Amino acid sequence: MSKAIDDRDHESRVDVWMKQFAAAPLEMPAPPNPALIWWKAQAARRREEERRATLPIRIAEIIQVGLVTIGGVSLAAFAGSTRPVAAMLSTAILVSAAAVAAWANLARTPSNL
Amino acid sequence: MDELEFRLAYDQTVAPLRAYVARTLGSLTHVDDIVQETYLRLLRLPSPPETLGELRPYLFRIAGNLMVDHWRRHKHETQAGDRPEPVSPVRMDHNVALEIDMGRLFRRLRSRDRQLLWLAHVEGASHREIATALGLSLNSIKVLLFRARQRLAALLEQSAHGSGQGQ
Repeated sequence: MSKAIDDRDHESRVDVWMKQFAAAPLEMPAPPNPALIWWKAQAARRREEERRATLPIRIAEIIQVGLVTIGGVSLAAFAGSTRPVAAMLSTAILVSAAAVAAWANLARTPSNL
Repeated sequence: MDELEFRLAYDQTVAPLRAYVARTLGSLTHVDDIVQETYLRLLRLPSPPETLGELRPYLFRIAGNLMVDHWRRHKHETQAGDRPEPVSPVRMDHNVALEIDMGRLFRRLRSRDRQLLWLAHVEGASHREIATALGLSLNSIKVLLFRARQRLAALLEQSAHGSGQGQ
C-alpha cells in the first residue's frame, strides 16, 4: 500500500519536474532550413538512382575485363597449337567479351541514367 | 511526399524533435546534425508516413537511433559530453542557471532513461508510442519507465538534500 503511494508520489514529482525542465529556456540557433534538407535529399536520391542505373554497366565491364584476360591468355597459350578446339575456345571467349562490351554500351543509354 | 508536404510536416515537428534531441543528448553541438539526418532519412523512404500521428513516432524513432549511434561513436568522449555547454557570464541569469542545473541533473540519468522520461512526461506519448519510438517491446515500457522515474526521483531527492545541506 505504502509502496503504491510512493510510486504515485514519484510519478507526480517526476512529472512536475520534467515539465519544468521542458519549459526551461534552451538557447538554440535557428533550426536547419527545410529547403536545404529537401535539396540534399533530392541530390542524394539522384545519386542513388545514378548508382543503380550504372550498376549493370559496371558489372558488365568487370566481366568483360575478365573474359578478355582469359581469352588473351588462352590465345597466347594455344598460339602454336594445331588443335582447332583450343583456338575455337579462345575465339569464343573473346567474342563473348565483345558481346558483353556491346551490351554494356547499349545499357549506357540516357534513359537509364 | 512533395516539397510542400515536407515543409508542412517539418514545421509541425521540428521544434519538439529538436527539444527531445537537445535534452536527451545533453549537448547542443550535434543536435542539428541529428535533426537534419532524421529528416533526410525520412525523405529517403519510398513511402513515408502520411499522417502527423504516424510521422511523429517515426521521426522520434529515427532520431533515437541516431542518438544511440552518436553515443556509441563518442563513447570515449562521455566525460566531455557530461560537461555543460559553455555559458557566457553576460547571459548567466537566474533562468539560465536553473536550466543548467536541471540539465546537469538530467544528464546524470542513463540515456535510455532520459529518452523514456522525455517521451512519457513531455511528449505525453503512450506506452505504445514510446515502444515504437525506442524500438522496445510494449511490455517492457511500463517497467523501464517505472525504474527511470525511480532513478530521477532519487536524484531529485539527493539534489534537494545536498542543496538543503549547503544552506
